[in-house]
Amino acid sequence: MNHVVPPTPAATPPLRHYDAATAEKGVFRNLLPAAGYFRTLWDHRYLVQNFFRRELLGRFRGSALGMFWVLVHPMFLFAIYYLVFGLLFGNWKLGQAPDPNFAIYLFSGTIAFQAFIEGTTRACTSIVDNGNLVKKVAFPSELLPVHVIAIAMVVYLVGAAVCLAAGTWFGVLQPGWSLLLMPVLLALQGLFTLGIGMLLANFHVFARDTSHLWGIFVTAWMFVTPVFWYPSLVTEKFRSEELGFDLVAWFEANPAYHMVMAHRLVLGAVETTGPDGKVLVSFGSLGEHLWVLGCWAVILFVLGCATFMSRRHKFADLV
Amino acid sequence: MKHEPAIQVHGLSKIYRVYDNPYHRLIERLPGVRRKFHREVAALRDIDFSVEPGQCIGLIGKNGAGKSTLLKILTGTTFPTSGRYSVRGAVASLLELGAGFHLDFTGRENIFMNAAMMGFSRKEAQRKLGEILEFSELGAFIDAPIRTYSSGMQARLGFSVAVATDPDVLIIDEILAVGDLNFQRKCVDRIWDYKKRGKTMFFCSHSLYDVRQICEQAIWIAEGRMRMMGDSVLVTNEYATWESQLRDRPDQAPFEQAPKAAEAPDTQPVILSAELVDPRTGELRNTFAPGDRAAVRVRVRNGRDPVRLALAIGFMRSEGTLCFAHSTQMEGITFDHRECTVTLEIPSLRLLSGEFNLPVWLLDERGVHRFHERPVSQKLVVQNRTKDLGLFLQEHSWRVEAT
Repeated sequence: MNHVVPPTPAATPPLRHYDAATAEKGVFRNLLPAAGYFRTLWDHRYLVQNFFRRELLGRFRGSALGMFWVLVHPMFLFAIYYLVFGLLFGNWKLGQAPDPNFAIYLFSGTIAFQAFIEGTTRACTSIVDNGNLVKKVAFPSELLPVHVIAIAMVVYLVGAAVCLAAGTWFGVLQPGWSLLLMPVLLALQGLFTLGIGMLLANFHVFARDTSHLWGIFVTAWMFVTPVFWYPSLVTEKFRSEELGFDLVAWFEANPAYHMVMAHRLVLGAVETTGPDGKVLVSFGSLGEHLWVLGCWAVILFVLGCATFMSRRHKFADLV
Repeated sequence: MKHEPAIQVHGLSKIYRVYDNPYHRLIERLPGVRRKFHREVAALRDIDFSVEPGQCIGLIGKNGAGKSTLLKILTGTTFPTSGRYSVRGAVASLLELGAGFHLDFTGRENIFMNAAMMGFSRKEAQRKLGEILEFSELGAFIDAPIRTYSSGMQARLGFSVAVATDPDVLIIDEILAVGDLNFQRKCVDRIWDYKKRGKTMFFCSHSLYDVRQICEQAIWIAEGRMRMMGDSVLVTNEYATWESQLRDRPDQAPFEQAPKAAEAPDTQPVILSAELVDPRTGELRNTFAPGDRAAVRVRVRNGRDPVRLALAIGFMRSEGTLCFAHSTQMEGITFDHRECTVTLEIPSLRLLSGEFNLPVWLLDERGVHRFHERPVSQKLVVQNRTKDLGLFLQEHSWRVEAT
């Protein structure tokens, strides 16, 4: 039997209305409607999917290994971490295998933070980079940062798989049920990245130095977040009693701290003890990390989306 | 039933702020800064109009008058500085054909991308794919990267995707110049089809001829303001007069502006010959006197696949003034013979002394697309027998009454 497509019923034609007097509402009037973003996203999911596909294919078009590079990169990175830091750190002696503990710690933190860096920097320039489209095609430009962030997440997931495999092999990670929370974590991080990304994209249209400034800022941010170092290293050096304030509280005020720790916990990181039995790193509670990250994500998303939407009508004239 | 306008525009203005330095925009917004860093450039000022569903509106004006800005605002890519507008129904815009094309991807991939940008779902895009492929005539090229396409092929693909949306409102900017001759005709047919189905069209063109043929109403924009709106023939005439005064140049022939056909291959309809004859004897004759009977005989051969044709003949004085032009389709005459002779008979020539060139145009049945153009082989020479002055000998009488 032939498949007959029924004619779509004549719907009432949509009405597009724009009034300059009410359109420039400013950031605050746009705070509440930020929820409408997800409606737009759902309605145009096919568009975002296409952007995603095009970006991913475009990145590897013409290279012999193609998609395989996404896997090769983290594998090499981990191998280097393992060899360099396994030999330098810990109590490695000639004839022993390198110590994988720090390599896994470092690797899991780097890939998570790198996903955030890539997502925000690409989102920052997404409007200007696609100026041709913004100027010439009527489509919701607020969706432009989404696919670059999604790609950063996919790259992260491949890295996370490498990390998980290596960590389990060396017995450093003990993955369990927490892995099931990975989608939740990625959703929160995605929202967090999107919020900052939209804020930056909006600024970048008006001031093209934004992306450079952000590049410096986010590198500094990575270094104050426990990605490359154990928190215990700092808390030992700068004791709260001597400083006169609680350094741990400052750690915890940093949303990225919760982000990287949550990633490590989801992958099954367990408390690491040094050779003298002292706790080198304690990862905290996953629930708390997710909760704090979620709060930051919602606040930043609403702020970013509202700022973006309140200026969106000017973009086409400025890119 | 209440009739809602398809497009309604009220007090629309678009003012661009021009800054020498992008940071001046930010400095200006700081509290306490009084100095103005920008110049204002008004692209549109206080535009008001409304368009009924099914109407076709032509937009005319000089370059930089604000036509494109208005089209962009109605499309939704840029936004007005003040005023409001509403557009009812799905809008398809043929402003920037293939704006979203990515050169490294194949035609097929770009179709899906472009369709998605126009708000298609995956299902809709797949359903329309066949129609788009067929219309674009790209054949096997559809799976080659767009980088390898000629500009005509890219435009064809862009047009095919744009018209596949079946919009309620169609916004067109100088569309009748896409691709080769055959494809141009297809575009014209497609646009005509929209018109027949009662879609609203907004059409911007430098060709007054096209505007007159396609649109019922026209809007004339000058320096961002609406100068005139009304019947398209009226508005285009006013505009042509104003423009020729401005340039201090003789009026251009309206047919001059029909989309130009490439050199016609023998598959296309052509004018085989065009000559001035004496209608009584049928022999060639090019010297006439006012009041004489005259005739123009044109032999036409249709293309390999015969189409309905129309013919137009103009009378142009040697300095370039078009005195008049007659065309068959305006009088309800079209023809599709394989070969035929079309004769224009003038029972009484009204022209006064002078030399005249007679351009002949072979047009499609609507007079929109121009297949072939060729002047009559002789010059028409008119010699007065009277002492009348001027261009025309019109019928007249004098009356003198004492008051």
